Amino acid sequence: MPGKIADWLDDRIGFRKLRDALLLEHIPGGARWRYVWGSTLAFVFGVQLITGLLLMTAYSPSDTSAWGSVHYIQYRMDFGWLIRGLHHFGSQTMMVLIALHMVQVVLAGAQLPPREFNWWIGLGLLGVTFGLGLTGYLLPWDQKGYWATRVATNIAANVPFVGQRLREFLLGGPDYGNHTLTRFYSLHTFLLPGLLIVLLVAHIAVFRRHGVTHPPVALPHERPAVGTALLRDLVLGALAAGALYSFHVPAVTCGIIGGLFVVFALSRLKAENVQSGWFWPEQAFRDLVACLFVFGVLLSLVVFGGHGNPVTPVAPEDAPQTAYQDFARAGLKGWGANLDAPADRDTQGYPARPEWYFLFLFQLLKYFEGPQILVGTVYIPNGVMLLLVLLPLLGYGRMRKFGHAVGVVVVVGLLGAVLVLTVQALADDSPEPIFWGLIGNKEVRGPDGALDTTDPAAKEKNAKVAKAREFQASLKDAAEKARRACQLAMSGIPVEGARELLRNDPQTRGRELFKTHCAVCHKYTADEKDPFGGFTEGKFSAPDLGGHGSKAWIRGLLANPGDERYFGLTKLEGMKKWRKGVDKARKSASKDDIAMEEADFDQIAAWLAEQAKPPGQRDPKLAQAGKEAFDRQDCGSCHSLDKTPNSAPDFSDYGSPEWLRLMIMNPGHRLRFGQKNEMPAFRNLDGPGAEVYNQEFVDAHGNGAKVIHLSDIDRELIIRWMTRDGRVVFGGRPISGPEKK
Amino acid sequence: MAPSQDRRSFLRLLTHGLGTLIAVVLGAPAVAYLLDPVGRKARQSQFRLVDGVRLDDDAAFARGPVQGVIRDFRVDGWTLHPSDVVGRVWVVKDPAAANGFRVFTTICPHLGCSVNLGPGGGTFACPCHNAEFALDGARLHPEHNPARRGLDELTWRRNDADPGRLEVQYLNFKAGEETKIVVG
Ligand code: FES
Repeated sequence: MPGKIADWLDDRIGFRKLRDALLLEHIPGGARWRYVWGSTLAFVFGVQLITGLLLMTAYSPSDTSAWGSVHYIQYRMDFGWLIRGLHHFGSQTMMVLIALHMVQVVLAGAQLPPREFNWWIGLGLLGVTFGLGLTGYLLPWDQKGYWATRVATNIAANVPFVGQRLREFLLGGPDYGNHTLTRFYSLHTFLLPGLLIVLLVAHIAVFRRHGVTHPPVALPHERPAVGTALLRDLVLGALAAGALYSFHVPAVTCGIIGGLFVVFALSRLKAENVQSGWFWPEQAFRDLVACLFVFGVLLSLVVFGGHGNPVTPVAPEDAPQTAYQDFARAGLKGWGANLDAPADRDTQGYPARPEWYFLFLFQLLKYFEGPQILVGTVYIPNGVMLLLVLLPLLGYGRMRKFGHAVGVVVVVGLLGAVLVLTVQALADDSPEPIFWGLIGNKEVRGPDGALDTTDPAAKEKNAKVAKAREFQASLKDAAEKARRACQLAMSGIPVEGARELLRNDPQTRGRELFKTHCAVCHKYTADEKDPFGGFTEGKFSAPDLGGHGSKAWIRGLLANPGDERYFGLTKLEGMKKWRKGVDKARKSASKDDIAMEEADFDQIAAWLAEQAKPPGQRDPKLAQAGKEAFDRQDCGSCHSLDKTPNSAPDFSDYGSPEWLRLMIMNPGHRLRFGQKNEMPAFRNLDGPGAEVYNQEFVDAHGNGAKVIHLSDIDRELIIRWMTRDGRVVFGGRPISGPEKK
Repeated sequence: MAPSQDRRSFLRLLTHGLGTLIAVVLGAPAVAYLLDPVGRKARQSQFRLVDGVRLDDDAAFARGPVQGVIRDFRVDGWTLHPSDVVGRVWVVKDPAAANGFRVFTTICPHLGCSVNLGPGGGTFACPCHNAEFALDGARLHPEHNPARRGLDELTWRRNDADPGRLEVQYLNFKAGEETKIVVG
């Protein structure tokens, strides 16, 4: 029955003819393993097409949404990590396969007449593939892609005469943004792949016209024995399986590949010893084994490459429930391709490097300074391209042997140069020698172990090491930010775009703001494991705010208000005087009285620490006991609990964001430190309404009050950082993350 | 069969097998990826305050149905809107109803357009395919009403702190059906 349907279909559309035309290709000299590279390239391109189409269904090219959509694919869609990972590593695999394919071509002399055209088409394919790599790198709109693309397009701008226009044409205007993405997107998903398909079809058609470039067909008595061929298959199989294994491919898969080679080798025993074969199935089988091999490497790069950022799911629907979901959402575990922090033009010193297969161009750039830059960016690369274009012309007539040799030397030499430049680029960025200490930077130290500062050559070397160290540090910092951004985005991304995540993240941004605005006077002691961190270096002149308002902090204050941690560095005398009174009274007090007083202090500290929580979450029993101790110790003679001004700060909601807000915006308020205050007020002096509030502030405090500008969002970021509340601040409202407990 | 023919058909089999293996390893996750959105649940709505309506505003209700708006945080793929309009409701004062009021979603039960007040304010009318409903939500003109059920009523309650305010559990229902089927 299926046969009948096939017959009917063939009668109507003639598919068998097409199939036969494709598959029944005669291969003089027989099928060979060495012919597989072209097919593996076509295969990986096919993988790129499929995964690319899938990514297009979920990707959104715009300044505000691109990063978010990629994050969504990576972490929240079933197998998004796998599809994206295959696409990401697929492009890199193509680069490697192109190099292998080119080497195989020149070794066979397949660029020589009559196959010149196919060589040229191949060079076109190479260019298009580079173009795809370059445009694709930008699309996630992450820091890596953004800064690398800035460099690449500014290189384009340096091209004589048309450069500036070319850059504007590529970017869709004078600056990077929405139009850059839409342009790169259409280039990457339509124009370049379309061109690649056209060129690929032409490449294969021309290839078919001339056939494989096979070695001279041997006479019957010269043919290698079956045994030799069989042995070679076995060796190849062992190599392939071993290579896969070293790539962390699971042993089962390595076994399958190795087994295929063994089965194939044994099947030779049944082969007629003819030196001629067909594409189907002799070559097709070899091609598919090679494709499976490449696919195995690709998959293991995605799964075991360890390039992703592990994150913890926030929304319940993102958390895997079953083993299947665990696998389908393995992006959460850090499987798949890396996603850097969202592109942000407001970044200091991002360590931009291109994808590794462009590193050689990046390195080349370093050797040419000033106006010479064109030599590295335009003249040399284009000169090399021209040389490659001319290669086949060396094959006419009696030059053929010479042309063959030159082809091998040029291509292998160029690849060698690329390799050397790439390794040099890696070595420059490493503070220690790389590749088993063979190449790279090394510090020069004198006999006393200190850095050598006398010898100029040594000084230069040490400066290079310092530079590499700095690069590694900024790389680490960038990786940290990427991790943080990926985690924050699990709670959702603001409409304004993903870059706002880090710009409004209390943990990273709040810390920077505290440093510039507060750590000038205030110390902040934090636990070493605390991800928010603290500030303990420097000269301080105000209380240590680490743990401010906590039970331990308050208890310590009651024990010794004159300590540097509390009011020791300030002119605030109230608490110090009070403690002196306590100490004096204790000289004549009984042990029991002292113990009772201490117990009251404990009670007060525990209860005051509760005031930072929302009212509904406070312990009512503690509230009663604390208030009683507060009254017994007569704290109410200076402090109030209900926002009635007194001679010392009011304690309603003490330590909460609300309490801190008034403290920051108006520390001299009668509910805070009043006349005794020394701290400047930090207020928003910008934006609509600000002038009204600030006039009111001046009216209340006179012109002498010191006011420093601090925007509303920055203030909230500082408050969140101080209270260790990691939710992203948005217009002062929490937009993401679970409620803070 | 000649031995080499034997070998060729064996290779053919192996090649088919290999091709299938690769296609499955690549194809299965691809299908799962494409099907990812299917069956994703919308966020279950809690009771939310309705803006624009006060149940004690007798003057407004004397003029007819009052429209209210519900804001909530809304997740759209990767984007989180902290406070977006998730929907609107018509509130009708109706002594015959259990607690004196009826609350309808403005979404037409026919195919999801947004229902207006009819001319004169005595009915609800959908601008898309002319479905009409009485103020108690019932289908009017059953002979030529394209909707298969009346307007969808929502569960509501009075706010604890301010009984003049209304809280609604906002839901979406499947269009075109005879009965109310919640779709999130
Ligand atoms: S959608 Fe309302 S009548 Fe069709």
